[in-house]
Amino acid sequence: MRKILLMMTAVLCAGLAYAQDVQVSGIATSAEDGSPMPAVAVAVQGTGRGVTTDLDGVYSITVPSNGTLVFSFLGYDDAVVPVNGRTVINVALQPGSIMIDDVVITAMGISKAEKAIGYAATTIKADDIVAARTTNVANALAGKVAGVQIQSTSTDPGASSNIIIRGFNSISGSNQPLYVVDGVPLQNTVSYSGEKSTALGGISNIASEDIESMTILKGAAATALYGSRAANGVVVITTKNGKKGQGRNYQIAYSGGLQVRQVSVFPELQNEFGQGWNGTQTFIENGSWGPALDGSTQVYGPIWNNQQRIHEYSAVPTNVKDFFDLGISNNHSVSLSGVSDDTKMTYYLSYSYSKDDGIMPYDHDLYKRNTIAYRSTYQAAKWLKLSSSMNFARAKSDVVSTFQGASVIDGLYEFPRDMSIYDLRDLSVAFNTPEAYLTPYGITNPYWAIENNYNHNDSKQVFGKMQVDINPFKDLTLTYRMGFDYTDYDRKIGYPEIALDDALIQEDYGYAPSNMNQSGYVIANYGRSYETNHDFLANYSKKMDALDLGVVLGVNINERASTGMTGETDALTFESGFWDLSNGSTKTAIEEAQSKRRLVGAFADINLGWNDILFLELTARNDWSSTLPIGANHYFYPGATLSWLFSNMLENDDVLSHGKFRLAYGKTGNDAPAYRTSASYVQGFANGYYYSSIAQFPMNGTNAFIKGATLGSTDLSPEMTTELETGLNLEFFKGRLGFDITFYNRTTDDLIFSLPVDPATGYQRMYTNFGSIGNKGFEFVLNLTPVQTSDFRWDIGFNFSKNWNKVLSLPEGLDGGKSIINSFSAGDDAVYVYAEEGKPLGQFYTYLPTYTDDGKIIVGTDGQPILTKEVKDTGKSMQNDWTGGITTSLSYKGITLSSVLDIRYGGYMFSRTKNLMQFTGNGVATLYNDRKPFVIPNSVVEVADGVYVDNETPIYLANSSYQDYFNNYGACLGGEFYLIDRSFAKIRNISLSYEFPKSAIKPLALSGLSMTAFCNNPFVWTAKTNRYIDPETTSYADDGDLGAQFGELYSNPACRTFGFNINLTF
Amino acid sequence: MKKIIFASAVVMALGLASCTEYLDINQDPNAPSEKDVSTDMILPAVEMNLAVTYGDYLRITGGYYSQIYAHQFGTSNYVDYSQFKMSATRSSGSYTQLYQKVILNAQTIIEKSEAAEDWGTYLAAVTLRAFALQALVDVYGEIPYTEALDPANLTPKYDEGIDIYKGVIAELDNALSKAVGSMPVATSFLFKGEKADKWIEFANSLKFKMLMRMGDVATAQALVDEDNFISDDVKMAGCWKNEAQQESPFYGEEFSTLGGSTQINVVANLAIIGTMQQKDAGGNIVYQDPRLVKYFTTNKSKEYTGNISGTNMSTASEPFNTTDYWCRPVASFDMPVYLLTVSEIDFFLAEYYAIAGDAAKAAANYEAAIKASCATNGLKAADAATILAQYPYDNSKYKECIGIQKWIALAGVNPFEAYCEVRRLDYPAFDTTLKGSDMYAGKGALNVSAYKPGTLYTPYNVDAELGDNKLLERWPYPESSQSRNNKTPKFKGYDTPIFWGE
Repeated sequence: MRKILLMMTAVLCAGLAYAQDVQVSGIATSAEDGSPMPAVAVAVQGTGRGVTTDLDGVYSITVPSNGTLVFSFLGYDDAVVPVNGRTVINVALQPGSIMIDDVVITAMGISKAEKAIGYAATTIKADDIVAARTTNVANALAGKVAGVQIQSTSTDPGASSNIIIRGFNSISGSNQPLYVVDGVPLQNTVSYSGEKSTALGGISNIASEDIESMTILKGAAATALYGSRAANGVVVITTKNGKKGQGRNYQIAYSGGLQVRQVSVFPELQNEFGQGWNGTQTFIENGSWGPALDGSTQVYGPIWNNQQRIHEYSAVPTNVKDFFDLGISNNHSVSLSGVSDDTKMTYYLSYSYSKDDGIMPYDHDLYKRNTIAYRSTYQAAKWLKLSSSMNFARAKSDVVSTFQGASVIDGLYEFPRDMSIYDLRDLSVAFNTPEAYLTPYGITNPYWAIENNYNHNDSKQVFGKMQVDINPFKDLTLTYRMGFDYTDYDRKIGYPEIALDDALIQEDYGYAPSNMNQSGYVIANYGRSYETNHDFLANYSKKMDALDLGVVLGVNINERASTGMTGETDALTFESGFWDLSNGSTKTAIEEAQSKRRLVGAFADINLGWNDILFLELTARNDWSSTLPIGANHYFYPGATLSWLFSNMLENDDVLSHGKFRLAYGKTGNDAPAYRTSASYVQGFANGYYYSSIAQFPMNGTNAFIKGATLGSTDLSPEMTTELETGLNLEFFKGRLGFDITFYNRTTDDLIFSLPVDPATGYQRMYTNFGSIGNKGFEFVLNLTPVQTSDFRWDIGFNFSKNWNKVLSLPEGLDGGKSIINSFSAGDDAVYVYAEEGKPLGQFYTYLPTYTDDGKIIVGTDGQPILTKEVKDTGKSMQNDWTGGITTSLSYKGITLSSVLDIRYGGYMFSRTKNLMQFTGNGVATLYNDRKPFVIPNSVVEVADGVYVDNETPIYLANSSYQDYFNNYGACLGGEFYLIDRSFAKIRNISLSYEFPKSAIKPLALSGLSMTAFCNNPFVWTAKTNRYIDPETTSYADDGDLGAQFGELYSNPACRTFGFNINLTF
Repeated sequence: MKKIIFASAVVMALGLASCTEYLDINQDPNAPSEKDVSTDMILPAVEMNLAVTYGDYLRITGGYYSQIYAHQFGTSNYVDYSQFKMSATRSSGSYTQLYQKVILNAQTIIEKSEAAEDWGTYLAAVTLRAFALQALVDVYGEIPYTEALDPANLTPKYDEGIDIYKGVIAELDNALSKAVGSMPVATSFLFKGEKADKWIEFANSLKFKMLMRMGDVATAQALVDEDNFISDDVKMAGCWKNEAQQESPFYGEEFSTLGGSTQINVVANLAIIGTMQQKDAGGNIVYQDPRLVKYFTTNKSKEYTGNISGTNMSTASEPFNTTDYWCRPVASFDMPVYLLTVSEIDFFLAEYYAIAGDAAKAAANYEAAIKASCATNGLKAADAATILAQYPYDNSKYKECIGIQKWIALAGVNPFEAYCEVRRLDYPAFDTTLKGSDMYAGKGALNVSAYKPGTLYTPYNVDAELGDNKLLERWPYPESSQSRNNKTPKFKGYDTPIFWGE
């Protein structure tokens, strides 16, 4: 930086001196191995003029004889070389030590110098993305970016991920950022079934090896130019382009690896009591409320065909864990990349294959992906450049559903503690199938369930772009870009029929296996969705003395559409395995869904730079949307940012090497979902209580329609997000120490919301604009290189962010100014989560115990707590208090050890797994008082109005009150017993890699060879009170990203992955 | 360059001009347009939603609250109902379905048929709307009415039950004044291919039922004099199929496996069994109501056994802790959903004449009611005679006679209506000397020998706030209203009767 300052002064002086121009040429090489470096930018400092080196690293440029050349290349330090009248200048570039990214790809694929940006933008480089070795690249960001929360919906293969940038802005809409690949927005296509969300397209189909960098634009000012869809931030992905190899104009790279997946977080189970109910041994119970385990030999299960099973009545501590196996996964990718001899053309071709096998036995949870990418640029004439990108992806996934019923996870968690699951593998034995399974209470052998339930997704995606850049004259570039993304999927879900007649059952102990009978079904769901974008851009940039001017004008035309068809059939002829619609004997439901929306946007962006010290950017955009009422379908939003590089004004010193102050203000508008501007009819149906859509038209040859439950609005207006952001970025000691702090205050007003309303209005929900949500907070990033020698380097990065989320207003009339986000209710239990005015989004409400004025628990005559009749505020919220991350890497001569820690602190979530542990008596919490009778401590019973006496009624097993104490009264916590602390600290990744020295691999005709051993999610620390699940898990994915924060319902356990990877470059 | 700028300007101008058309695509391709939807297309869905809520959820809850149903051993889906409990969330879905699907869409038919002066269809929609509103008043007491169905008012006020009854009767009067028997009516399941005459009978009968609930015999007189009541039971029948989403709803919910549920919950209550099949001290059957075989199946040992309210017997001894010990309601995929039966009208007439002091006509209608009940169940006059011999009419105890017999008559066809009438007539009455906990100790055996036919008893485990010897008189206002409408009144308490039960 000091050099830059020095040179700038020199250049400014030079400018005044009217120096004579000379032709300078030379060669740029890498200081690392002396190889020539193509595509190095060679600029004449202070002029904006520049050339790039050719394939052999050679350049030639006209420059004032007293001028200065700046050589720059991504990942290398700039070399600033005064010409001093020379005509030949050769430079050796040093690999990068400055940590700030010099170039940031911003709105509409326009790259900008980092210094000119007045808002927070974080770029993650290829190495870091590849190091994380996640099949879905979104997960590679976890823990690395301040203010960004990456939440994988589960660790199952193929699971989708949610990314939340600077908190939740929308209650009912999406809070997901926009993904833009090489200037082209991608759809985020996700399949929801069996309480699972599986990625079908979008970012999940991009091979991590194809990515050059990912930039996260967080603020409204940064995102205004992307329009409506960027209101929640933008993830900009830049892919790799054609590159020369060492000593030749192409290179071939291979990367491949092997991973092993293993269960990590698991509920803590008790090992003292066995199968039974209310303290008595029963032979068919789905839980461990029986007597203490004593090692005696006992029968269990029904008597079938004069046979009954026996076992030793003692704990099988790892019985549930034993069910899972190691998932063996592998990935390979190969790429060919190069530049034509005349350097006019670049090309990049890659193929990748990933196979992820999960922790379920056999191959029932499997994700396979093949991708092919081809990218090319061609400089057809001096004024004409063509670029294109074509990407094909195919992903297949088999999912193990987690919902209740004959599901795997329910079957595992309700399994008595005294039996071995592993011994139930043989499905040719009647005792291991529903016919004579050890319990008929709604669960069955998990091995049977996994073999007989089917959930398969098969998706194909094509995306890419075609782009023409025209330079009609110097400083002006006209661009047309057509971007497209087409995703197509086939999904089949099969649920087996169980049709037992109990013919061979002699004794069922009161509940016959035929109670498990179910009709089974097949669902076939085919769909496709596409998005096209036409961008017209005019980009003018001009350097005028101290002033840099850049103007971008553009128009974007966007269309998004989807079509889907679903067929369903019941009462299967073949009980299992034949998953075709012809298998149903009674009914075939057919449904279709279509949606199309369009958006036209016109925008302008003006950049002014003064002396490399002050940068001002002004943006404005107007959108016209098809989803808004036709007479009021357009909206305007402006933005402005200021960046002040004060270090460029200061006297040069050894301490402060970079200092920048940022200020940004921006607005982003967001339109409505499609078809929300009017009421609509749906085909008639009626709901039963547990059996939804118990009646569905056509019925008996008659068709009928009814008004839909949600009323559209003819006066919807767009949501507006306004954000003010300020930040300071300082670097010291040539980048050895740097920090960046950002404060932001974001408000989203006029939220478009499907407001739940009293059905007496005639509707359950109404689309309307109301209320506002605020997110304000700060992000802090600290980067430190405590040790740096020629051989050894140690880097540490900390990031910390705190977001205060608050519902600023909700409409009057809503009960207490709150509106429901999600809920769980079963029997007398109910947990609700609300958006409530004045509180963070996602406040938990449930039935709570009641207390006397002096704090004693009020119980009934049965000795159990009396819970409130209505749900009450628990004072607990879904929101984390703060999040942070630590990254560290140690490198010594090509050996690098690195690790990422991701921390989220505070907040609560709903956990059905926790509840299930008490319901079944399998969880450790059910060992309270060794299951001996007890009287609830400090409890009183009301004997007359307001008169309380000490409670003496005991809770004990034999009358079922002990179990009820847990199941109906939440162990004196009411519904709060369902909640768990969602805090965690998770090591996302530890990796050890070795990069072979160039000299060692030269004989092998390789230019690069590295090997990496790694472990993803090796450790998770959870709150002390959470003995159940990995709190990152959600299973309400189809309730939207905010709704999914509610918690988990029978989620599969989390896992960790060990792996080894090799990278070769020829 | 100039050319380029010019060309761009032209393109932009053309683009903007066609923009309006380009963006005018916001009509949902999956929904028919409002103007194309006719009353023929809506009425069957209104009927179906009413039949599903009434014939499934209200049937189940009404059955538990009037001790026609008890809970099966081992499962717990409805144990709270059998303990006479109701929460705001439990009934929320039914409230929503009645308002959003039945009442709103009936209102749409009313508006469309009024515009077309199609008074037959108009009457049909008003009648169904009245039926749904009445059912809501009968459980909640108060609901939004005058300010309901107005999307501009998100917080409609609650009206008093009596005012809603009066308002609904005025609506029926208005519709009846416009309709003539020969007028056509839109496509319907209830009265297929019929003219308005059947709907006029239904509307008259419904109005009569409401007036009798109100105790307004003076107004009812004109209806009695006109005597144009239903001559056949009003029921949804003949439209059910043995397929998923096509079965009669109670069967679909509780018996069929097509909906994905494997739970068995509803079994007979010892009260209804003990009343319909009476035994002497030696355990010999001394009386059996002929309708028993139509209402309940026998258990594994071919006996009639009724379980106790308030528990799922999870800690009982054998054979009480087995599922096949208990009798279940007779149910089939094509069982009708009864909205109103001839027998009920006859019972109301008996009550009307008893109040009017005409004991002979009261007795005649009482007998007619029991005969009609037998006819509904496919039984003969001789069967009615058996019942009448055991339960002859006594005008001095008309409420008790009618109350008990109505409870029995409705037990197999419409337990919800039984629940309403038990609350209104206070018969069958509680046997205050016998509680559930006297018959079952929480473990061991169930002993029903002390049960007195024609009585109710406090459930083994009863909602503490309700207390002993009481029926659950009203339900908490539904959660879907409570949480979204700040005009929801303060709950009056589980033991506060609906206005007609005061």
